[in-house]
Amino acid sequence: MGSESSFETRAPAAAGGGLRIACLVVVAISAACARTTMKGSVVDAYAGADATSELDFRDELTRQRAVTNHDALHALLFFAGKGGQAADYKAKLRLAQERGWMSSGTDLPPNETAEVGWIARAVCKELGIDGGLTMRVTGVSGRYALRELIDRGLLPDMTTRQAISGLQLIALLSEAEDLRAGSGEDPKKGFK
Amino acid sequence: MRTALFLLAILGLPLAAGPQDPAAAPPAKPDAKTPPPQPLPEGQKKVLQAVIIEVTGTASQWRGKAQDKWQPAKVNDLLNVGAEIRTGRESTVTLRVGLNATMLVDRQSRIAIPDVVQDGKVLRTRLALAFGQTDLKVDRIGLENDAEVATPTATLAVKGTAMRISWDAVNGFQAKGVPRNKLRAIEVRYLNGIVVYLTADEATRDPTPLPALRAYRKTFYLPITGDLSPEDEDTAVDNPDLLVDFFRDLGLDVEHAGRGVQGGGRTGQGKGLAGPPGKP
Repeated sequence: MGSESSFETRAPAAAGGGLRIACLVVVAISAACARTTMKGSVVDAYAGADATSELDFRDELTRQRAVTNHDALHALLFFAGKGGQAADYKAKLRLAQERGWMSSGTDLPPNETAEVGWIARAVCKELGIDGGLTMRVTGVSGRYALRELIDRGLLPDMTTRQAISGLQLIALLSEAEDLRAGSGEDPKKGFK
Repeated sequence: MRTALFLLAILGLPLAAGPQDPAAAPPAKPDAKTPPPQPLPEGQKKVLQAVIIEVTGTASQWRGKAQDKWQPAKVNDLLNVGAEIRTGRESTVTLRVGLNATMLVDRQSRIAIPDVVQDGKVLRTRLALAFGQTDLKVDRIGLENDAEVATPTATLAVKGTAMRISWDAVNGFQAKGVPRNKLRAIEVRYLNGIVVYLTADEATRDPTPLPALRAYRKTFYLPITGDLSPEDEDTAVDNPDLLVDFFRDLGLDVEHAGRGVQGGGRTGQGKGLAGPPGKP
């Protein structure tokens, strides 16, 4: 009898444990898919458009392991010559959509880590990189823009949803600046 | 009377011509009697400065030390040892560093000048590139040159040449020689102890996060004769003997040098394998 009762008490516990494990798996999967949100963005402290604020922002950005959407937008707008033209994050997001960096209506949380896919798309748009056949047919998507930049040696091997570090973003924009000025060369040239 | 008129005409001519245009004046000839820099007595040191000789763009700043405020870079600004320079978009700063070096700090770069000193007969220059790109030219002026550029992953020693050094998070360290570069005029020491000498038109880099061996292999434009797995590469980096064997198998003449390995680079791309390693 005692063993019966202990069986009865164990059975619901086992069922509950299974449920808990299932819940944990769901939570783990959804957590793995979720993007990291940072406590704040560098631009919160260096929002100015003057040279000192821009360089302070750049220097602080190089210390970041992952760039937030707000920081990436701020840096890209400077690269596009539109630094200081948008007062707040919403305005920057709107400006980015107008320039075709992302689909209209896209709402990215400012402090969430930026996906390298949309950054690559923004850089390709600004540089006028048409890419290969697929990109010409389907348009500049993050996936193919990223492949294009990886192929040109402007980015390391990455996937579109990966985060990008501050140093990587600065390196990308520096090389992109050279390409735009016509003084850039394939970074891989001479090293193969 | 005729003599008086003649004198008046001569004296009056400059007045009639008006004030001289300084821009039209012929450039001053360098003083041929200026002696070249002389070596200091043994053990005596003289701290040198850097002077900004050209600024382009609007986002170039410098500060004397880490606690100072950044100030816009202007031509003729004098920078002491410990100064830092940073450049932004489409901006460059060119400096004369000490007596023998000229440095162009390219766009989006940050560099420090930890040491510029004449120590006896040696001109010692130490530069630290945090990120970005710089062109450096070191002249031979009769004294010994000891110039080094440190980056986060490699240190480059310059004996007297011109080159481009860059470091960024995508491609890591890169150094490129120029056609005027003499054999072994550029020496790159990677943090893992590998020493590479560059010759004209050669380049070396460490694409992060790839192992240094891959950079070393690319330095010599090695033909890929066999597959080396990543595990083998890691083992090879940890074990210089394995590295030496590996390169000897590929026909390169390499040798140990202190902590690492020295090897001769190719003297021309695609024209045979490396020559014998020489002394720096």
